[in-house]
Amino acid sequence: MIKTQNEKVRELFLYVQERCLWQFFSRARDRETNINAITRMAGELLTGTRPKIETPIEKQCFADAVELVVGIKSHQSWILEESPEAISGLMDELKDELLDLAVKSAKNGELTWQAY
Amino acid sequence: MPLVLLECDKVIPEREKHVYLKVEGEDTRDYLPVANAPTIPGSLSERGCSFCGAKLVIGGVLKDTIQMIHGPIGCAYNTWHTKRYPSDGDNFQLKYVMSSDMKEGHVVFGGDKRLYEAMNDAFNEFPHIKRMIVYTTCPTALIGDDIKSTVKRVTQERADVDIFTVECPGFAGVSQSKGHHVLNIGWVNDKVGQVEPEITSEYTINVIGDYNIQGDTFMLQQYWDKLGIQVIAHFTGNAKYDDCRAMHRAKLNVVNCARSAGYIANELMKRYGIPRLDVDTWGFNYMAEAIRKICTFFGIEERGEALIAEEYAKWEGKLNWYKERLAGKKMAVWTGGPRLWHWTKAVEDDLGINVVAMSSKFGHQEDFEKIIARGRAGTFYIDDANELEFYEVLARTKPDVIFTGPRVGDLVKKLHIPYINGHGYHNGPYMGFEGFVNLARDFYNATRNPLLGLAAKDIRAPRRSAVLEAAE
Repeated sequence: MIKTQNEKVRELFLYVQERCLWQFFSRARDRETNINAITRMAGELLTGTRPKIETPIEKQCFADAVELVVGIKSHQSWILEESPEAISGLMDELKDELLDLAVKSAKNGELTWQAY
Repeated sequence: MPLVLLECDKVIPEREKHVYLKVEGEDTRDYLPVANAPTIPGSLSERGCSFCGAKLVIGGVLKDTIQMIHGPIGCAYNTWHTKRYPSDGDNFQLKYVMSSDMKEGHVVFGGDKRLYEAMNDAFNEFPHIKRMIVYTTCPTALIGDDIKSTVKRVTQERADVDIFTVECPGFAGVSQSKGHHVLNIGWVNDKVGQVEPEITSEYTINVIGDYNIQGDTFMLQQYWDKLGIQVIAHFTGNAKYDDCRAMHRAKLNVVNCARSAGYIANELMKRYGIPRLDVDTWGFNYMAEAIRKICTFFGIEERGEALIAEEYAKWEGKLNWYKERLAGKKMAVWTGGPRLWHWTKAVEDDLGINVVAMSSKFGHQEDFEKIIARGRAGTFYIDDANELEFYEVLARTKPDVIFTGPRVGDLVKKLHIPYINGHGYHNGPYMGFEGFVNLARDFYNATRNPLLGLAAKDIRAPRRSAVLEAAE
């Protein structure tokens, strides 16, 4: 059965929800850093590009992205058939959905608390 | 489904905001229980105090450190011996705890002199121990004893000692969680950066939020040794005081318990630029993932894969034996917070067990985001549950085994439901590959232990009936 774009993003989103602790760091800014970097790097890895790594934090995001890609290839194997452009679009939508859940629409009252 | 008002909570309807029953398709944008909030009057909480969070959970684990509790004797006893964290030394941390043993007169006239004497007595009694943590408690905080001044005096008189103070009385926060926070931030402010470690590997980590429960740290240390990774500090399982003063020299912080120690990981990232890698160490699947991530960070992926293959070859068969026999069993988790999100998918993926109810004593909303993201639909997620809620949820979900602490465990025994110590373990360690087989074995044994069934049989029944009839 052919999956729609929404269904594909939903599958990726549910997988990240279940597996990845990096989306739920204590502070909003750390969540944004992780989600932006890891989804970008995962997209690059899925399309055969080596992500640029310059800082220790980026190295940590890379380690998380590599593992995410292993999981996606194993659980959402349809991604192997996608074009680089399609993968890029899917990862962008995944990023937006994660940012919405973990930051923008999050009900967690401590995300921007200075004393966290 | 919205948040749930249980039958037993109708007289304290505020509890509705703390109880969530997940429905398929919902996520934490729809509902998120209130957490890390004051216990509602009328609800008999199972929480501990903030001092306990600092002493029992984190500080008391250090293997070469005198634990000096400035307060009444009960504060010392009740945060000692109730958790099993061994060390590879002489288990000083399990054998001894010190107290200034405050009495009414000290509360009236001040306890500083009493503390000064107790600190010196302790150093004299254990001349080989040169490190100490001094904790304030409710009465000594209320009367305003100047602990830091006393510590300064002792430190000036004893050049070879180092002392850390934790000023976190039991009433400082809503639960144990405040104690975690105070100790974390105090340690990074006062102690990190004071010791330069001997570096023996180019791959260095801090393992943060693992307290060597029944040897968890020993289990994980085998992996780090095989991978050639040097642990600068365990925060604080099997750790020395000075190890944790050298945390600034690690290249990576590997975080297990993000609730009790996420603060220090965040501060090490902010102040020293050390990245924070959050991992799960309970469960085969998760442990393998953690090893792969750490090895990817250091560029030693082959070593990681070799270790994972070796451990799977050794333990997977045993795990599968239990999985065949445990699949479909139901479990409830009634612990502090992080074990809910660490365990719910691990037992489901590795053992086929369904977690049907979870309650957190001191988790924050961040923990509930993780728990609900990983947990099943149809499962209860409760913050700071009380005893009546516990009974009601058990009646609704009917778990086969409950993972909880000894206090709630005694309630469970009376219901003749098997209980496993979710804090100190029954026969751990539970972390790592071998550890998860231990957990599976304890679960299996719990479901097949005939004693609970026998305990439900009242062998006095005929005689008691006669007595009751006579009474009527």
